[in-house]
Amino acid sequence: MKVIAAINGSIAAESMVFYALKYAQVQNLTLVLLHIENKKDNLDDVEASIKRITTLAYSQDIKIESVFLHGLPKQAIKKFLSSVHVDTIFCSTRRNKKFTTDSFSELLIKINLNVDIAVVHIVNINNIMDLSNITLSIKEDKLSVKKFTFFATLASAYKADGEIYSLSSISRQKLSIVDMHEARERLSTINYNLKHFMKLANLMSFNIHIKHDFTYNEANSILMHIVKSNTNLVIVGAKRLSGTLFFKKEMPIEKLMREASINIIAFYTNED
Amino acid sequence: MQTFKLNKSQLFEKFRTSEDGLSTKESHNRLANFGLNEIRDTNKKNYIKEYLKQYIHFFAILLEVAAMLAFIANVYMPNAGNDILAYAIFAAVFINATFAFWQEYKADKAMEALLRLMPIMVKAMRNANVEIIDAKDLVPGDIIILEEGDRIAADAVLIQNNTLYIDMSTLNGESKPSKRELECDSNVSRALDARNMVYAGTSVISGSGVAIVIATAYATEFGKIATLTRNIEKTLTPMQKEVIRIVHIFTVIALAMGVIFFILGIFSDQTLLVTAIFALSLIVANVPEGLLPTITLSLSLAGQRMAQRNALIKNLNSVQTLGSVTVICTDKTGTLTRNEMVLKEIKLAGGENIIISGEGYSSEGEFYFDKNNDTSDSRLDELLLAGVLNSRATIEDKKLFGDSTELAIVGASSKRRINTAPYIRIDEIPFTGDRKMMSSIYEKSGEKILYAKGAAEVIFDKSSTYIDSMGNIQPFDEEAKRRMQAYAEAFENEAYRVLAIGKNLDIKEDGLTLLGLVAIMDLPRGEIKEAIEQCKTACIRIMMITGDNQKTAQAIAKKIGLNYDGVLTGEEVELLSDEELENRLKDETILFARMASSQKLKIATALQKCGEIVAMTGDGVNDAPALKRADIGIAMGTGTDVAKEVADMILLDDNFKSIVSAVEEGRAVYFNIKKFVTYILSSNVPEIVPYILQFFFKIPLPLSVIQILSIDLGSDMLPGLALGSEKPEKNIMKRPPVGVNEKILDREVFRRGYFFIGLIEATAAMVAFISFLLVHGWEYGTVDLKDPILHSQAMTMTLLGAVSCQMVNAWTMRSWEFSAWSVGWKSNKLLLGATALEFFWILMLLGYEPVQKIFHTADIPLSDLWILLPFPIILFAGHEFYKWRKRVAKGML
Repeated sequence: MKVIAAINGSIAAESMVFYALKYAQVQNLTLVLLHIENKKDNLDDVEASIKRITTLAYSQDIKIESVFLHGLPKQAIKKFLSSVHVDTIFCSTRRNKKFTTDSFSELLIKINLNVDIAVVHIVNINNIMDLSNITLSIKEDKLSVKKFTFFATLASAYKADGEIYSLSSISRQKLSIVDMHEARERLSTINYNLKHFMKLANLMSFNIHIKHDFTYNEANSILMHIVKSNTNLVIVGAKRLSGTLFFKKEMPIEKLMREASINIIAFYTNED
Repeated sequence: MQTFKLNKSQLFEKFRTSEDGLSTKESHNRLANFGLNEIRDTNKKNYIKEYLKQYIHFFAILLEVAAMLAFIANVYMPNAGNDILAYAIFAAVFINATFAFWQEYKADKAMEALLRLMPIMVKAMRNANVEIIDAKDLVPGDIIILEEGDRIAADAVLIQNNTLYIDMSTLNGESKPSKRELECDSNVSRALDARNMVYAGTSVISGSGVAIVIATAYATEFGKIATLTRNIEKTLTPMQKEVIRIVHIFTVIALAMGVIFFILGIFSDQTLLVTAIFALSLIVANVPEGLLPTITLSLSLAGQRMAQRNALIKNLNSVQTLGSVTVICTDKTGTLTRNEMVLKEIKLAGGENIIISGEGYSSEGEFYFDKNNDTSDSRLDELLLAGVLNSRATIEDKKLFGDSTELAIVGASSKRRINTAPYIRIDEIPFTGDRKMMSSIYEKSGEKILYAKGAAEVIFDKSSTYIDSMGNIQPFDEEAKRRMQAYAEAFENEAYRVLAIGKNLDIKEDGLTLLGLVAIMDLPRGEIKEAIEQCKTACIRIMMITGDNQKTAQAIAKKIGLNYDGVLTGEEVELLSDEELENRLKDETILFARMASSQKLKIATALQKCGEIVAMTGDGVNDAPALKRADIGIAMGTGTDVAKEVADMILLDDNFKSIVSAVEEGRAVYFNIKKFVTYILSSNVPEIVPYILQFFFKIPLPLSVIQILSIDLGSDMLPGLALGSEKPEKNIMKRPPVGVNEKILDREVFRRGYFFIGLIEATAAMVAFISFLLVHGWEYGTVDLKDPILHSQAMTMTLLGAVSCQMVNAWTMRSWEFSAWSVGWKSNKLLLGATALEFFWILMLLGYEPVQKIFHTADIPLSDLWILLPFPIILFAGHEFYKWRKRVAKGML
């Protein structure tokens, strides 16, 4: 099994590769630096980037290889994936109105690939190497094993504290008359349902806690939580936040990606 | 390693840049990846859509359907006034929608105020040239050039520094210019504390520098404040929730009665059209059309009264929330205290204690010595001279310039008419946080002298001698030092800021001759004790939040009579988890010392999770998130635009007393709304009962729908408003805050409105109607009267029965618990005016033909009006007796 990181020579893509490196290190997988040749990217920049990453990977005993593909990206990536077993593809994205527009990530999540995809939005390149807190945002107790494994792998790799940020949706009107007793019962049920993940985290020896919030606007709550807590990276299940809402002009994930003050990974499992 | 701890070459490597800056191509690439360096107000509402929404909620739809039915009825029964009814209902819908929209969707300009702090253009290195570029185009790795007066557009680490001072008040509330360095302390962990960094939203006060951009847009510290300010959305205020609840209750009652009587009508001998019109009439009779505008207008009047008491309400819905406030989190400086540092006491090194009288920085005041001798005055003058010469502050024509502590010394020296003219300043060793002292070197008649002032412990360590009580120089030995330390400590325990003052003829900071101590304090406001006492009786907890140390916080609390259970410092708050903080705040009153403004948000959130209704004061940009989070955000009148925009209320005089006055008004508003809701409900009964009686008994129609509207949207409106402007009742601040579960529309309101006063009014209306008909020859069973004038006259009697009772109802309803006499007959001018207008309205109904035509009324012989007389008297006496019984039951007599 291999981990793929798509690179284009940009500082954002190179920053994203650090997450892939860490992931590959803990999972003991080979990291493949993948570049599909195109007119936009400067090949010298790409090669310089590969050189820097390879040096770093060797220094940390991580198996690494690089692959250059040619031709139409869709066909090239499909063909390549048919020849190797891939665990996860990491790719960075741009800060456009829609976060996947005009980027390789758009292609990856549109074509039906049988791999997990981590779309990394680099906002801040200051703390890519050292992460002390990683947050996984979920809806109530809806957490898949794959998502948790991805989160736990990164938390272990960075020896960071983990936080599951569980959001329970509630209307604005109900939020102002929330019954504390009822709320506590609801939260303790969520805690109970997430108990086995907590046990797993203990087995993996990383600190983890659950933080709850009631909200009528998920994106706003995650953005606020990012600022108030001292988390360095947020992982969100991308499909969940991609649904449209009545009277909303955009999907919550777009707002999250555009306005977050830290790096975000939108994680698409192949089960979604 | 954190970015701000990297050296220049490491920074260049990490951000793939150099002193030449980025190339145009690279900056474009990065712009695509990191986005524009801008913070946008994306939460702006579509006001047209929001306004239209007001027409599609439950209550509005109910009225709109009723209006449509009235139009249909008008087609089948023209000239019955149903068209006028339809227009009137549509007018009510329009008024309600407009008022509700005005209430809810006033422009939130907080983000606009925030964004004004960001620059438009910046100087940056691009392609090895200095270029002026759009601030939005900055990307991580850009090299920016900073000069005096510049606003800074991104977070950046300095790589060149020429005595750069920046104004960081937007981020940390600190008004003093912050000196920047090229290196940062190794123990700094937060980017905001790194002295080698500059930040977006701040500005350059003096000096210049070059810096490498490490974060843009939302990733900056300023972006984080913007995120918090914009994304905190308040839950509904108690008033909004109550209005929704009231609307639901009335809608359900109206619909239920309409449907029940429509079904009954189908099984009766009435035609379907008559039954439908009857059901429609019942719905209209049940809906208090004027209630919502009356509530809004009443809140608006309360807002005006508050403004007269120096509390400017921005969000009308918050008026009633003030009545529910259970905790006031208040800043100390300027709110509890005068924000005016005053030198109150001096301890000369010789041992004399001197108390200084006089207000603030006034040059009038006396110096009272506890003991003195021939040398005391000259030693005091020398100490004040040393203090004033070693200050940068000045007071000219009552205008203050400089640091508040230094102003206190300058103010005191002006009381002694200290002459500084012969002294020429030669040099200065400035104050720094590390040194905790400053010195100035002066020359007088060719002789040089160094004056030093600073933290007592620092000056003590640097002193080798002191001037004793006889004016002689003595060695500052351990015993003398211990004695002075004890004096300093005693001052500190009294919440004084203590400075020691010394001099040295050798022009060195070591080997000083100690002159004495000055004790400076920001004095509590005069009326503060009374206000705090009021809060105690009103069961409101006060939590003081101050940047001062624990000792000062405790001493001030003691001085102003503020009781507390414990003290938490900013560091302790930081270490507590949300749950632990909630547990501490659940029952305890805490003093918060050494707090940063950014921690207020955590406190407000924790208190709210404990079920408290929180009022929070603040003035800085970084207070904005907490002000928005609090149930009542209170900005100081002297605060920043951002704080004022985000707050619900602005304190025009920055005075805590004004918050308490606003709370009192808030409580009054709750009871006033209760009073006029009861008042308005009362008139619903004489509107409904005639229809029901007409349906079940063989009597003519006692009241037309248009007459109902004349009550709901006419005669009830002004007295209702007048009730809304009643002054606070005398026990209002002696009861607990209005609980979140205390509803305006509760059983008591229904009991009084519907089943007590309402029934009296209905009886009045029906007795007036039937008696009038009987006196004029009507026989029971005659439904269709041959004489339309007689019918109009009888309906006028019904209307007058209800209106006359309502006139008296307004006067007895002025106090919810106390007698009508106790509130004074002339104290509510609006009610006097409303009553006069109501009389005028009755005269119009009785004698002015155009009005009679619209409202189906007619002249009534004076001899028949006596029928109306007993009921208002019964109502007044009955309600007064009802309230007396209540007072007896509560032990209030």
